[in-house]
Amino acid sequence: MSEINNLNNGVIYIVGHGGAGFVSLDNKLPINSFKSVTKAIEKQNADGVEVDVQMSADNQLMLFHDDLLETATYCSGCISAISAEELEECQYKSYGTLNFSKEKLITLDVIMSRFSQRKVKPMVFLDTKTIANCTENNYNIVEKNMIEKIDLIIKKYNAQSWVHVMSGSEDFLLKMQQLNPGIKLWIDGDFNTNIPIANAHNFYGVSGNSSAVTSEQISFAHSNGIYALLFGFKAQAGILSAIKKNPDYLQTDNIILTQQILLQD
Amino acid sequence: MNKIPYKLVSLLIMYTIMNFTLLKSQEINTPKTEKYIFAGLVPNLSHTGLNSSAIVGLQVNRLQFTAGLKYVISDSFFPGIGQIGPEFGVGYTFLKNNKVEFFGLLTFQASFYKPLATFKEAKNKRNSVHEYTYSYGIKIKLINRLWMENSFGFGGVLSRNHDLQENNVSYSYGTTGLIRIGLFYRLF
Repeated sequence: MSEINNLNNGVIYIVGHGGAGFVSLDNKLPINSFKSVTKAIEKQNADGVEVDVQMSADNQLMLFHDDLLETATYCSGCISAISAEELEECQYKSYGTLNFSKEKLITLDVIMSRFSQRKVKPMVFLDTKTIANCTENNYNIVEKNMIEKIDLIIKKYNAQSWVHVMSGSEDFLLKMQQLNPGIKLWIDGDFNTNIPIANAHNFYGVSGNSSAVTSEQISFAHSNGIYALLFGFKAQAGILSAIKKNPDYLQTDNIILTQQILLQD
Repeated sequence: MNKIPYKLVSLLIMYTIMNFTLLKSQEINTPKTEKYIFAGLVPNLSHTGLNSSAIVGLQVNRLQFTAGLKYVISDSFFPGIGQIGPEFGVGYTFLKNNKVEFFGLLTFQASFYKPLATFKEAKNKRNSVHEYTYSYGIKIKLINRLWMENSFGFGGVLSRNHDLQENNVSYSYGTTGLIRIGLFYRLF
């Protein structure tokens, strides 16, 4: 690869999307599952993982991507309406030859406990989800509880340096920052809108879909000391296109291929 | 990695019974010892993706022993392309006549590749994927010394992966399938 111009001195960190990436023929594991997340770090040597976190009814941080349980598991309803103990019994749905019967929902605590024992801690990106349709009138309470819980987990595992918190909501990130000023915060969405916001509030970085982000926007973010993370690719063309934009982090659905491309001379 | 593919196993058993029924009446017994060496090229689809194996083999009556090199062509199911690994097989011909044979084949394939990480060079370490499969297939004589084979199989896979940061090795087990199409030539 030609020289990369970013805030990491030319190194692009590889972050596995939902663990080892979305389900595909070469990744037969549900995203956010224990096996997927540990595979990314322990078998594929990614620099970090992105996981989706939602609050359970008893204020535990669960790893789950979708709004409703029925889309990906044999349970139904909202995460926020069910206790963590019950959620941990929810099996991921199997599709065709993809048998996920052994994979169940897990708490963030499980992953943090595992990774905190490593000599070199992997980066853990928490994509925070407060589903409006599920929280209804309790939205603010759920949001507040989530912020406090994330802060508690970071303190429990002394993870300030290796946990990143992502959200599309400026308000959420500001509340998180208020509680824990040193935390690495990422605002997700349109770069033109979010770079000034990140700059104004001293957020760590901006994240967005690679197809909607230009190299000029990333260069502008860098000139303001803001890191850039791109996602939304799996195949070679998408990865190459993202790398050419000089991001600092690539959140990928194909860790191995991304490593191969980055390690090419 | 998946459970035992019961549907595939059932299909193979049914296929075997069907072939047995069809060919039993046509079978020609060949009491004299038949021994020859052959070579072939076998594109195949397995856990590691699309591969091609260059094979040499020894046929002794109904028994077949093969050895060769497997080359990973595509990265559909496998982290990377271009890996070369050994392949060994033992086969047995159940039924045959002058044009067609039906056989079972036990195969072992191995692939090795360098673990990747942007943070650390892994010079002397190799991840590996071992595949153990049983296939059932058909062999059709094309011309004189030339024949082609097609077989379908299933089996187990064992992969070995390096955690470079922790300097650990972990193992994964699972099931896999195998589809082979081969072109062979009888040498002597």
